[in-house]
Amino acid sequence: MLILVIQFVYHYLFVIAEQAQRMRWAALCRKGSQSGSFRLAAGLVGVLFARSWQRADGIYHAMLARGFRGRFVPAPPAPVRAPDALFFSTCLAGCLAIRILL
Amino acid sequence: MSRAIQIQGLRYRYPDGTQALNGIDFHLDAGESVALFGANGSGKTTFVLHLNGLLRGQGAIEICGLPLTDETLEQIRSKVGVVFQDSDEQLFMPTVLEDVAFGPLNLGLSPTDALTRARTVLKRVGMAHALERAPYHLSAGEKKRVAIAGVLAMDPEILVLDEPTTFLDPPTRRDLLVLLRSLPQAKVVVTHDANLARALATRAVFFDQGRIAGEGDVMEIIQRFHWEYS
Repeated sequence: MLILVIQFVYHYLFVIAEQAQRMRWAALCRKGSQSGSFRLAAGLVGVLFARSWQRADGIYHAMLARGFRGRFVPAPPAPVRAPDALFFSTCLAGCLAIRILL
Repeated sequence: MSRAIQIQGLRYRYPDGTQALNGIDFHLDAGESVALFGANGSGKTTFVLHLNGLLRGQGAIEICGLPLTDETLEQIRSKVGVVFQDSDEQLFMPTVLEDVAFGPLNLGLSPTDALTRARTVLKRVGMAHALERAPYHLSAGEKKRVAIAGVLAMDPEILVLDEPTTFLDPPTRRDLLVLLRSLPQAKVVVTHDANLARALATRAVFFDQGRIAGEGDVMEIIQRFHWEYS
């Protein structure tokens, strides 16, 4: 469950970051200057929060529409492939090296 | 012909007091496609959110002969597939394949069957090449196809599409139209796109301030309400 929440956050960070970027550009276009102000930043953060809240509502609606009943049904885990094994071995080797050297 | 949707006297007021729907009578036959026109804020989206019980107003709603109640809600949500306007809201899982399998898993299919069904519908919408991709890296047209696949994977009898061509370029709109025309389900299409409505729907309904102001042949409604700007 924790991993799923982290995946959700990771996924929507991109979407929210993109929205923040567009809002910043829109603000800069009408401000005519690159220099920011605290007031502008506070306004953008406030609107971004409200929009993210609205989006969260939309996502929850979309989940309900596809039969979500409050409990995630896990898909079977993906099979372990060569790059996964290589990544795991590298991490393990790194940890062992640190343990031996320090 | 059997009725896919039958609605009488639907009213809905938002918590802030806005009366969004004010006595809607509506029907849709099995296999029929209807376009919903109307100005922004006229109640179209609020209306379609009632079709699978995401919003609950006053009035009688029957889907495929089933009255919409707390007891029938799950059954009705598997019969009515809603494709939302903003695909980013609809695609929330880490990969395309997992996202499309989300609905079938909730329906109680085994993980193997859910993934098989997801692969089949992704092939049908032309997205079989993107199974392991992250949805947020797809183009707008690809996201829309995956969103439609996610709904088709639930094997619905009715498809509800909220502004399906928004943000899409003309070639992508054309491809989407070909895909939608190939789907046998009854369709309710909320749109401002008169071309899409003409090509896809056999009937149009015009919303105005939470009421149905007109209903009939698509061309007749477009002309009566001046719904083209050229």
